[in-house]
Amino acid sequence: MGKKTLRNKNRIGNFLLSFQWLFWISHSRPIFMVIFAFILVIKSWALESLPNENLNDQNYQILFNKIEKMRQTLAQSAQSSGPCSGKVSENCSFLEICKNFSGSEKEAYLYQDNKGHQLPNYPLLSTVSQAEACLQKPFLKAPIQDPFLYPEQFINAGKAGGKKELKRNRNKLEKEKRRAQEIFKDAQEKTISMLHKKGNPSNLGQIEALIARVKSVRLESAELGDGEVTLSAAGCEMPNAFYQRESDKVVLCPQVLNLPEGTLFQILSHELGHSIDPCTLAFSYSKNKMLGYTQNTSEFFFGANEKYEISLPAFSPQSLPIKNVLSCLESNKEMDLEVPSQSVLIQNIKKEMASDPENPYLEARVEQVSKNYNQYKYCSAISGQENIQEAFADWVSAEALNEKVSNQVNASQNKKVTFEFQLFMAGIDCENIKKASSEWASDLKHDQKNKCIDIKSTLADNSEAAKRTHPKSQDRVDQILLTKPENRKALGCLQSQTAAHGKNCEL
Amino acid sequence: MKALISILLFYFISGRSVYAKFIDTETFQADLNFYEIKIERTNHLGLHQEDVLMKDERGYFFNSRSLGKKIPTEIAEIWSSLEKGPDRLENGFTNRRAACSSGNYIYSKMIRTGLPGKIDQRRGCTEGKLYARIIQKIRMLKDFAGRI
Repeated sequence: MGKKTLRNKNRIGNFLLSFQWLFWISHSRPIFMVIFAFILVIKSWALESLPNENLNDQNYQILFNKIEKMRQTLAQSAQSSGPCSGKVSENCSFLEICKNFSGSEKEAYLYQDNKGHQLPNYPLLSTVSQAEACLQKPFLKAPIQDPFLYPEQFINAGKAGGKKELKRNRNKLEKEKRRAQEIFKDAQEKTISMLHKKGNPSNLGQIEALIARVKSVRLESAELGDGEVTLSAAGCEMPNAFYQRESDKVVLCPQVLNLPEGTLFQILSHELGHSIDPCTLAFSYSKNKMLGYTQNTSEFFFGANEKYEISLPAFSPQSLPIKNVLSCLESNKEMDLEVPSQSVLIQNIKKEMASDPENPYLEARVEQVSKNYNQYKYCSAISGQENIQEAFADWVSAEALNEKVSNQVNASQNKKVTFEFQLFMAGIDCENIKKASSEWASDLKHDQKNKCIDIKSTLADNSEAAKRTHPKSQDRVDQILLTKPENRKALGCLQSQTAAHGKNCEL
Repeated sequence: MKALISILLFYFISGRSVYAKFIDTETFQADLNFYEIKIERTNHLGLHQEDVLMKDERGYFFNSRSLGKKIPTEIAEIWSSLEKGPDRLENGFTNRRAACSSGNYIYSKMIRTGLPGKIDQRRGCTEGKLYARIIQKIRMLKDFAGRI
């Protein structure tokens, strides 16, 4: 029902209602009472018969068939998926990596290694699950039997397809957790080794401090618990991995455990990078026998406290051991990494306050920015953006990969790992993949007569939240990851960079 | 007597809310009970999801799916809790965080006024018990939408 039609119906309702005044005037005349009782019945009919959203059977059948077909396409492609290898021309860029998905944009998996580790087509899978929610009754089974896509298959025997399958899924989960620990250890070693090599007599103390921070980080695989609620509380509502500053640990969600080795190496080394990013370095850490290293968060709210013993000291922005990398990254104007000045931030918040005077959060924010800008300007709670932290973590992961491939002589293994390294970002941000999922979404929109108009892909490029959290994937690959010489060599790129690539920033 | 009966009849048939609407037709367009709530979340890996709750003269809608004009009490409780939204102070400062590690959510409520709507926005981290409760309620609405 269009807005215009709806408005017209409202007008009819109000017009009929306006006759009720006559009811008051003519209350003593029975004939008018009958007429107005009739009017009231008509009025209530007019209001009740406002748009009825039920689909007629034919439309519903069309919708159902389309969604069923999408599920079948996913299931068939999942069954027929096999190992593949990546090809990148010697110009090497994010767009070249995207070309690898040409022809497989509408498949459940975009890549699979020779051990069965896969990169799911997250945008397409999300479109289908949103489409399923439009149906009058949900499908009992997921389109694909893959517990890493549907974690309930790790918990519920019915969803897993039986007790035997449930046991198999759980064994697989434990196996992949162990593999993730090994990859994490490798990423930690390569990051430490890379930092060692950056050391010289003038910065030795600072490098040692960075190494101590990287060494202190632990990996934690999120527990499944009762499923969605436990996972959501752990930050795993969707496939996710993150560095938790408060407890100095990297949290890995079960949904990402089956990603290819190079992809997991990228995710884990990036998260390790956050342990030495400019926001984390602004805090000191204390060692606790039970909890390991914990962030002295109270510094942020109440200032430094001498009561606790500091194991990992904090750095001010002026004394950061990574300041050369930060200024190099910030000089890349394409990536929009610059942290706004204190006065600009306060000005912006005050503008917000003028339009939303009742929001106590804004007042607290002005206070925090005034008090904490100098020490914590690289933290998103102050600057309102996380791009510089993310770009720095990408720099660490690119350096860790550079270290990994320079120590390994097997060229084909190097190429595989380096290709897989870019996959997660490519898998959610390549234009051809985004286009395929939006084609499916708009195909459904077309036939639904205003139903399920909000189907969107998982891609975050249009969301306000995404703009605040990450630089664009293309920039992350071209401006940071592919600027490292060993990474380029491993991928078979020309050693001379093109204009599309950024500067190779050094510590 | 007839007058009294007719007044009572009018009162019961039309109801207070309709009476209020008929006094001022503009009020009908600007009903504070008509709104759209969007709960968007983007996690640390860049994956994004959103759910939309809407209420208008046609009834309740969850992700564009009609839930009908009347919803059962337990669903109405979930709905009103989501309508109320997370505490405004539940953000990076008050829950003792300097940043959201796992990702961010934005809760926005737009009251339908017929004119450009007023938007009330709140932000938070995509982790923790309070967030899990929001997701649990969304899941219950999803399940209900799937049953009707």
